Amino acid sequence: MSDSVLRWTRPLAALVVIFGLWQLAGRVWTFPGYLFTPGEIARAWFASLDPETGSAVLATTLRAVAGFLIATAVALPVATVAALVRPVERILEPYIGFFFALPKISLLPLLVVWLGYSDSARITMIAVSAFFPIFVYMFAGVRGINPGYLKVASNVGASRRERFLHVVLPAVAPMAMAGVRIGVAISLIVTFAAEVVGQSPNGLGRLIQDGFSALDYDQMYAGIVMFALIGLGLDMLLRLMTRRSPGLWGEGVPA
Amino acid sequence: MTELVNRKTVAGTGVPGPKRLTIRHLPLRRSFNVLGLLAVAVGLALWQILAVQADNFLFPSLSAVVEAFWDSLRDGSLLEALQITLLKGLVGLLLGVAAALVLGRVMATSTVLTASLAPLISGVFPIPRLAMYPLMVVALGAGGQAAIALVAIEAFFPMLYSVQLGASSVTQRYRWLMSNVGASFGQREALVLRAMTPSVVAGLRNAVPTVLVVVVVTELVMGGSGTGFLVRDAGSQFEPARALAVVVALGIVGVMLNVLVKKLFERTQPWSLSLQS
Repeated sequence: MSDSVLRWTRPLAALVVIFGLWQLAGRVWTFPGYLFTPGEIARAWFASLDPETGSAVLATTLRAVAGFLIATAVALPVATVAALVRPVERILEPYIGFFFALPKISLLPLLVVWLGYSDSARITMIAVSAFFPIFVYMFAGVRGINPGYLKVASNVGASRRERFLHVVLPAVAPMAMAGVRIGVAISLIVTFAAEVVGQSPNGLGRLIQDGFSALDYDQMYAGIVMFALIGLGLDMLLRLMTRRSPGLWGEGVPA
Repeated sequence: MTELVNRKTVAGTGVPGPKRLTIRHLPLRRSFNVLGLLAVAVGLALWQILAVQADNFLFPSLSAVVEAFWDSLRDGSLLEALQITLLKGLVGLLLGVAAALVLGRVMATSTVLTASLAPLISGVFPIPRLAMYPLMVVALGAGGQAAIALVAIEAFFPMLYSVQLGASSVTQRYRWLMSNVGASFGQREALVLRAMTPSVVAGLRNAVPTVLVVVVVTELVMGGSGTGFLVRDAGSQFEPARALAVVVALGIVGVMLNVLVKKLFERTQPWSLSLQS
């Protein structure tokens, strides 16, 4: 078997074994009601495929993506400026240090006091949380550009604009993408918290929490699987985008 | 390494340019950030002035928050909540790290096992595992156990990645050497554990901030006790000053934890000291 085939079949086989053992354990012992076998999870998920769940998936995805896009739109330029302009870095340093370490989610009850139980409070929360990892990665990426690249570009007569577009941007893209991937993962986590704590009228967080209140395990499992699928889908989309973009340098993107 | 990035920038781009390495340029000791201190002072002063001007209890002034901080420190409620939050985080972290150490070590014993499981580990990275929390509350009760279980799971995955990476750094030659000198199973494993330490600590740098977030979220969702509950309680009673006092305390604890892990990191891999900012 060739290496590329092995790369896919081995993890797949491991997955089958894990789920198989789990299913088998469910046959041998009687699981308590809240512990589903993979078969039961799949059945609950299929049963949940209706317009109502669809709108919950849509609401959650839109919230996560909105917060994440705001965070990215602010973090990338600010991090670039901070990495290049020394005084800006020094001014931002204590603020970034404090808010990076702070569990931002603890601000949610305050945001709710200020903005009400609204999507502005929830999306602000998501954006604030996703901002910091994206900022940190972008900052490190711009700082880490090999100065040799810029010297070469200057030597062949590249203008300032050309150097930025054709050297700085592609060189920083892998790190920026790594930060963005973490930002997406964090956005989804915070979306769940913001939907539950922020009393969202819709979304998967609501769906799971309602399932919890009614002890409807099918609904809880269906919601969890949907959340996982959104996470995997968004991540796959990002990875496809990275692969499609031409002229990006560096293979060292953390997995 | 003959060149080191200098503060001077390459003409026109603002990107740091190269300069010949001298001892003076080694970033062994960072200069004190006067500008940053000034920025913090200005920010705090602005906060105080604007809040006093606004005179709205929804936007508490700096002095009101400091007062609330002091009050909740003196009546013991803040310290008690912090203790509960940190204890849950620590127990969950230890469980997650222990499980990762064992499984990561076993994974590294065979290339087939590593090739089969490593993609699955990175595959679960984008899945928001927090969504499982209500289910865990059903299974383990609304006490600390569900939060601890979730923390353990959140800590487990980044740690497993690091442990497996660290364990595979012990090459076959070292293993042969160890058996040739007649090291027992316990002695061999102790050596492997020492070889893995830098990777484990590197994994902790990712895991520790996550742990704090997860515990606070669980307390926000289920209430009961802890810092997350304290913030939620203050918010629902429209006491933003008290809520902000807890948020500030969490920020301070977060910074302290990060410094602690960073110090641990520098101790275990001193060669990376000059590369980390």
